[in-house]
Amino acid sequence: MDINLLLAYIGVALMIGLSGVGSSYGVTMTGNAAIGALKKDSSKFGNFLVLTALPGTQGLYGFAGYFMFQNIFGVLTPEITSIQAAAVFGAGLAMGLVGLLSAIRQGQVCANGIAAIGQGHDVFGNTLILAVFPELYAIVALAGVFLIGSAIA
Amino acid sequence: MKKLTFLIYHKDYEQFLRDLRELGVVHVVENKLNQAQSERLDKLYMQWKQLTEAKKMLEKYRDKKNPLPPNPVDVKKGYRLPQEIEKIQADAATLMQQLQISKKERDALIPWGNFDPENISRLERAGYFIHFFVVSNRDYNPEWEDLYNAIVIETKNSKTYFITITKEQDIPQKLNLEAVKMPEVSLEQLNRMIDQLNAKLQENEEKLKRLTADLPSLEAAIKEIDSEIRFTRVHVSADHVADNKIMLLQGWVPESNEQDIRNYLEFQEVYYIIEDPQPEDDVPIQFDNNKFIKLFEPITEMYMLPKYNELDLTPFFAPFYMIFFGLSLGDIGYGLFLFLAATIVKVMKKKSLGTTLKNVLSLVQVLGASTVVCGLLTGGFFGFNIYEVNIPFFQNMKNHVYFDNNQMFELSLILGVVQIMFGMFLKIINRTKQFGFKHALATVGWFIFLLSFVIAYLFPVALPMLGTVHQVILLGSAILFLFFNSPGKNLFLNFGLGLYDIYNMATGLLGDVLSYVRLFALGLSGGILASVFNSLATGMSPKDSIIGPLVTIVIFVIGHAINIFMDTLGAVVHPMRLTFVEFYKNAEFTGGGKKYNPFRK
Repeated sequence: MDINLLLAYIGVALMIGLSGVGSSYGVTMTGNAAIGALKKDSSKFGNFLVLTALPGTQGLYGFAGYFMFQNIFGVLTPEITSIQAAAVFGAGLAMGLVGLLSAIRQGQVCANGIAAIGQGHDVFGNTLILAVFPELYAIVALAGVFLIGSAIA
Repeated sequence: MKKLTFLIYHKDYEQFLRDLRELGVVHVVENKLNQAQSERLDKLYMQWKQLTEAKKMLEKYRDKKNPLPPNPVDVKKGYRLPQEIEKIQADAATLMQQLQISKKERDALIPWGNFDPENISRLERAGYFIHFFVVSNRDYNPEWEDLYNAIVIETKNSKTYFITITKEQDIPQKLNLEAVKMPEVSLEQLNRMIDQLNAKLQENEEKLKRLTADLPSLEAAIKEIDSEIRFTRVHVSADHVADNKIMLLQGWVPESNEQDIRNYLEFQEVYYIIEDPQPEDDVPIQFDNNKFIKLFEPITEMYMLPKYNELDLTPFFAPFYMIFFGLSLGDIGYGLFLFLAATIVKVMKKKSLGTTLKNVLSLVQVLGASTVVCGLLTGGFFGFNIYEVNIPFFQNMKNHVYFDNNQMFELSLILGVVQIMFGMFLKIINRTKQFGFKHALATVGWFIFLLSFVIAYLFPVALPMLGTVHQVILLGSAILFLFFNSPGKNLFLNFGLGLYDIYNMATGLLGDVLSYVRLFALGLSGGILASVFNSLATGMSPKDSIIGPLVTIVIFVIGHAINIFMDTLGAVVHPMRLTFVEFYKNAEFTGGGKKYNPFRK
């Protein structure tokens, strides 16, 4: 039914959209911090690059979630049932929200790390480890999307 | 490690330190307070800073493509360089200032054209006064031309530039305008001056460029200062006793080097003690791992070194880390790429590579190889799946090693359980080693408790889940972790702590195991993105027989380059977190050791 497909695609839109927005915010924060820190210590660009890229993954997870529904589970067709549509919507909402907020928050952690490295504290490794904490939940959300998908496919 | 204590007569002190540096095996305990108060050290740091800044400066001016042939190394010259550079820069700053002033004057003069100021003063001596004015066009009154012999020189940007030629001097008051003050030089002269200044600046820059040939001398000076700083830091670390006559210095030496130091000290007039470390000592750490495990030491160092007499966990997480990296990246092609890239760099730059970098490259090789092996489980190859290719060899392999997504999901969790159980096992060893077996009893209880479930799940025939035998085992282990978790304390306190422990275990273990889901999710999302880039590469390219394939190749290369970067980053960081958070926690790693850093040149 058409309305089912609409619901499913709203879910997809939330999944790709929100997590993508989150990642853009996250990497912008880290990027800004990196540019500021470069002024103090331009030799650490490699470290900054790595930390800047970290919050970029959530957007990819959102996209990967969409791809799973599209190609692996193959539910995004006109024959989609209302239960499947609800599942896609729920999965999308979860992935989108977690992606959005975890990427922004992860960006803050990384930005602080970058600022600290710029000031001469050697906290690259520590920042890497701490920054991965918020990301776990985006990964868990992606795993959740996968489980939801396998349940309805 | 052995603890060393020296008592040295102050006159021999300097020579003693030089000999010690020559030996290069003693980790000297440095005294931060003395160092902070040392003026000599401050001076050295200052000098070091000047030198490194000079080096930075010169590197900016160095022509990277065809650098000047370096001058022979002359350390003294290296020390002089900062002053020379400073002088050149100061000159440049003055020149810049002059240039700016001249440019401003020139801008002011341009509307009036080129004239000799000498002519104006000559007219003045003859009794004719010339005043220069600028007014906006609508304020200009043509009557002034009759009254004061006003002559318009130029109208530009809605402004009128005019002069008056009169015998009176008070024209500005009469017109109620402010006269423009003219520079003492003509436009032509000014232009010449600006050219000269520019040439001088150019020359200055050339001078700096010529100095880049002395970079080796500068580097030599920096190296000398570095070693001087190290020496001074040790030098001021000794405590003065007996009216500054005797210096007291402490240090550490690895057991394997103990004999060297004994041999040396035998012929010295130094009083010394060599003893075993006490529990409260802050002993420096020296890794003792084989060649393969050594590759993983940088990962250990990223977090924290173990405390002395604590188990070094590097050999125990290394195999896990390897597998985790492989699963997170999970693409045969990417693994091959990393492996080959590291190999090529290693072969090409064989001579110029330092040991550290070489080890990192070897680590990349190992991880790349592991990725190839782990990638075989899912069959991803640059986003394509080798198991979809209809070649009997691949199909045959698929039957043996292929894991579908659900199996990968389970595999990650199982690996999590394995690593966590292994961590607990290490905790038992660690506790036994540090405090005695009594203190490890509670952990033994937990270990048996959890292991019994694993065994019952895997072999229900041998140990029926929650059967009588199982129940007995559970009860026994529960007694261990409920009543023996802090030996020597009150039974009830033990029981309370045990209950709290149960709460921690129940919430902690669940989270810890679930955390390993990331291995599956990272591998999956990386694979998905890789395949998306492939479809983009083939789908988005125009249907042109020449441009089409070209666009395909560009999208393919760029897409996979991005994906390799992001995935490798994730595959490095996430297993690291699993190691430092999940594994270290369950293995009860405390850490906080300092690295053994012997005093040498």
